Amino acid sequence: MRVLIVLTPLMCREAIAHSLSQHRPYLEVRIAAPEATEEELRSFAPHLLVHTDTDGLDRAAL
Amino acid sequence: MPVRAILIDDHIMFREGLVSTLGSRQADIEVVGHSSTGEAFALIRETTPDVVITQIDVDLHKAKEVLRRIREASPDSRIVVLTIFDNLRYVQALSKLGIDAYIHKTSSTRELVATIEALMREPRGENTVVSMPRGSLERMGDGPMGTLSERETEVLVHVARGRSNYQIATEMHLAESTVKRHLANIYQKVGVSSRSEATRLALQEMWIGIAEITQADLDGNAGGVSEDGH
Repeated sequence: MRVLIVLTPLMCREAIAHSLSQHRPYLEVRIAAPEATEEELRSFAPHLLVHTDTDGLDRAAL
Repeated sequence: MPVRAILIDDHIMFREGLVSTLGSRQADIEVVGHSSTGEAFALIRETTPDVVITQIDVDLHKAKEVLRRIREASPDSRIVVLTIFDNLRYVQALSKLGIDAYIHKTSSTRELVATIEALMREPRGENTVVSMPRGSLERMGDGPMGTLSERETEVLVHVARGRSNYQIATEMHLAESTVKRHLANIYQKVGVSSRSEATRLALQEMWIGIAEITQADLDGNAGGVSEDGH
């Protein structure tokens, strides 16, 4: 299962991604800056996206 | 011998993630405890860590109190502040309180580790390590906002939060006439004639930050106000 984390700020993104990988090592976790979300959705095709609900992500991109 | 660190942050998910990250890196850091701000002081007193890594995302008045209590609990611990505030005034004010590092949360965990290592290499170092977004630093000018006193700046933050003179006076334990005098001084020093102009200029010069203003919502004190302050 692929998980894409695009939370801000960077330190939170890294910390949560690390914790998730530690607790669920079978997950494929990737982090990206919010502005790269659409590109990552296309290239990484995650099963789960973790983002901030106020980051203005276009729902159509999902 | 590993560096013994305590991590203080009110966001459990972030805190646990950071503990996990710090504990797993090659860096010689042992997280000997972590907690929210409220429970931190007893933990610090009990463990007297080499480093206290603490979130400071509150207004300056509360920040000073948190740092004072950390110092009181463990006078020799180095203090690393993690924050979302990226304005010059906040950096200056916290630096005066004797912190050892100011790390904006847009920094990476690798930078945090490097900062802790740097502090440990200079146990009696007197410099403050600052890691902030380059853009924020570049936009920090020497504009008129820099001439404001700490008290005046504090009033300006409350103004930007939409407080009335009466509310500001109550929160800062001042007379309303004193708040008016501070405002008159602010207008004169920065060359504006209204609350909204002063707020706009302060934000433009990054003397105060959006995070500081919106923090009011978290404090549960937000309120509206008209241009004349009522």
